[in-house]
Amino acid sequence: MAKTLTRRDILKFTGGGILGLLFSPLPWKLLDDSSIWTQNWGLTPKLAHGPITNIFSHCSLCSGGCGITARCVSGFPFAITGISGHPVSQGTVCTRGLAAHHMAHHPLRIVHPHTFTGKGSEATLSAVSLQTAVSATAEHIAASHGSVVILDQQPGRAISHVYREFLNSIPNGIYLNSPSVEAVTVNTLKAMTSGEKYSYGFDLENADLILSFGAPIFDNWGTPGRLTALHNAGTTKVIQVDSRYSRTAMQSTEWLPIIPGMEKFLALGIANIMIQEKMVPAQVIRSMSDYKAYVAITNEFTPEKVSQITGIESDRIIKTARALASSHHPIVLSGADPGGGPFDSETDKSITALNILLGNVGKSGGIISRRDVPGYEINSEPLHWANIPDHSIEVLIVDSVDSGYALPWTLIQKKMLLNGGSILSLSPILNEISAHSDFLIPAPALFESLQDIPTPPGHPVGTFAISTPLLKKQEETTEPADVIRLLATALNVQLEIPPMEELIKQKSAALYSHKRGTLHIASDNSTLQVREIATADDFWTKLTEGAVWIDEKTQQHSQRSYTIGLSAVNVPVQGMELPMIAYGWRGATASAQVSPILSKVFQETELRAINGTVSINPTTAIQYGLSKDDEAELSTVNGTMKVHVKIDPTIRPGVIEASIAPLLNGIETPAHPAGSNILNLCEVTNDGTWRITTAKLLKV
Amino acid sequence: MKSKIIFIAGILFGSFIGWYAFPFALYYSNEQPLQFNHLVHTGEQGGMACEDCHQTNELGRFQGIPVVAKCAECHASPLGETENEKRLVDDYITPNKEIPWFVYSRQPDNAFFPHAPHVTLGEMKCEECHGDHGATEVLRLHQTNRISGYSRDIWGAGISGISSTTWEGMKMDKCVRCHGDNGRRDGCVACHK
Repeated sequence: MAKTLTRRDILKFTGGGILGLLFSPLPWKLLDDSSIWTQNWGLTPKLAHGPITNIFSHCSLCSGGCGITARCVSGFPFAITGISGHPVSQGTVCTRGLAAHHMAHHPLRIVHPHTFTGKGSEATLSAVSLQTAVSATAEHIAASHGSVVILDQQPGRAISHVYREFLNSIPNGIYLNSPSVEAVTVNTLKAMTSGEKYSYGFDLENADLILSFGAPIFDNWGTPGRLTALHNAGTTKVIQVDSRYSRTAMQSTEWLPIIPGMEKFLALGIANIMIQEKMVPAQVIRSMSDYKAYVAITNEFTPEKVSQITGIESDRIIKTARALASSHHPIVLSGADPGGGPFDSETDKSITALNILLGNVGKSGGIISRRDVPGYEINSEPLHWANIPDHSIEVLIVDSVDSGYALPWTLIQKKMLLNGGSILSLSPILNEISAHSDFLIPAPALFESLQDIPTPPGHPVGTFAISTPLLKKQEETTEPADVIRLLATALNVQLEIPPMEELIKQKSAALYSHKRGTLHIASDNSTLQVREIATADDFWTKLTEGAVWIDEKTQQHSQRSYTIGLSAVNVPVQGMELPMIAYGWRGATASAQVSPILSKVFQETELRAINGTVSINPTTAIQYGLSKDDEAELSTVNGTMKVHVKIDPTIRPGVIEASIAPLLNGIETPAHPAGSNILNLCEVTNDGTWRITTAKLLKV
Repeated sequence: MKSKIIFIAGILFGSFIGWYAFPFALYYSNEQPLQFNHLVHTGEQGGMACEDCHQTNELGRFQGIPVVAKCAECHASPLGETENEKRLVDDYITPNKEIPWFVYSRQPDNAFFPHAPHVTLGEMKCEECHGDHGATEVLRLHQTNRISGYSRDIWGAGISGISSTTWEGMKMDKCVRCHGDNGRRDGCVACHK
């Protein structure tokens, strides 16, 4: 054997070495470690190591008033859960709230005033100074001949009072809420009540029968934890009137599937049966000032006629009416669909009137009156969108929070001046509305500043809480109260507006001075009488530590008088070509954003349809030559978009159901934060609703 | 013949590097700041249980390695005559300074592991994940991976990463397997918040 080492030998040795390495853990371990190394680069955000603490606060993503426990490491929140025993939210937080601490880090977050230059797909965001944005808006207000509107989608807060004061100080100032108002039934009842006005709430916990017209009560309506507890208790029968087999319909005792848009006629039909079968108590008849006119309107709506109009069998209508009348504690409520929006006001009146007929107002288990929270009294109701003349809004200021319900841009466009007017958005995160804005002055994001949490809509007693900040405020964000102060100064309007925290503290002191009610203490689930708290400062401290104030129940009076005020009702001519009904999930259909991580919930489950999906019955599919998973073109008066078709036998034949939902992650841009959106295809009617739109569906 | 021998020698050399030399290069060692004899505390002499020092607080949260105040409950002054205990008292307890232990089982930042559901609710024994650590007389060297920064215990002592026990290695596949064996099906966000 040759003793010299040749190049061939070296190569063989190397080859053998490589083979030996390949059969050792080295390459695979290096691969594993390298991938871990790349995950730990400096750019990867990490939580600091430090003490883990719980901070109690309240979520203000919607008006639900849920108490939250923020788990924090080194003071930085990394997880949100509920507060066990919380008297309002009962320990539950919705999906959006569980990810609420993400919102300050949303990819579409803005932290500095901006303006949009250009329009549509050409639009670009440019940073401007606060002074520039305020001055431009003030100039528009000063020069305006049309209305100056502030859109506040969570009315009843301290900032809401600031908005109203400002609007009362300038010509043509109008205060507007979201078109979808969860407390519409109690608000309508309040308007119907003659004489002294009361605030009302639903005593759901003591109700034995709830007839809900479209309200998504088991899908995040109101305070989700409250309704979850009600559902779990199983003691209340729920009849859901819904044009679709919604999640609430699925979980109700009975679903009454109704032809879309015919809810008013069902309500009138039920009233007719109660009147004809003498199920209306005599004192109720005496309390209704326009009872005769009401009877005259309901007279023509016999069960048979209503059955033809609504698509519900007459037997079921009669059975429902009798069940309502014989129930000890019934409640009838109407509700907007989170995506499809509200009913028109006549429908709301028809539905609300059933409560009066049942005599459940001012009674346990029905609709009960509650005292206004001191410092939060409301002297006038906001205008309804239907009462805003088309193309009359010259300046629109959009508050930073949303209602959790959809707000189509087409509705706003219908009310803005034809040449567009001027829009100022205070939202901290780019959304559909801000994409059409002229200026953006971002408010602090959720949990970056102290906020007050007023009574949730429809709650049976007044409540008050604080959303304690968990995060550091970004320097160049501006509290809405400060924006209003700057605008007032620019317009030479004399307004005293203290800083937000001081304003809310004043409200707290005013509340404390009445020495009524109790505080629920989050840390130990205990209750403290307000009169036992030594000072207003102590009261304030406890609120900032996560306590919630609960008012005392008020004495009920059932001796009231009402005026229903229904207009003459025209039976609709049916046969609309393929009505499209939009629907959605509260919180996720809003004009605001959801946490990008929530996209896992929306994309990975078959339970929720994603944006751009329409569902039709198999019969409808055959009629239009469509199959499952086809791509189709959906056309309405507002435009056309490509959609994905799903076939679902639970859907009424001849109807398209269109899901309004968050977009797939990552396709939003600052100019198109909601991408193309079925919501904007919905036709907005003169009464400010978009529940039903005539549509065409063509296979692509 | 010669070329075959050389080739085999290469294989053997490569294997030696991969199986034996590689771990020495991959990990660097740290000695614990103080030697601690678990057996003295948990054995017949001390009679303590794991949870006597590694406690769950009133919120149900596992406290991990005890703070020096816990040691001071017994060792406010030396109980014995060992050099280690003297250093414990003089260098840490008396000046109330926390002992900068190297943690063998520290999980990466992207993994959320709560002890409460496993120990309190799941009634798992400490030994299932931590082996006989509670019966050791000396604390072994803490070895850190130079590339990933993780403790060697996360991969496991053996460079192959294969082990026949539940306590060798704490990588994700171990957790997933145990969860599966116990009928749990979790999504990503269960452990990666």
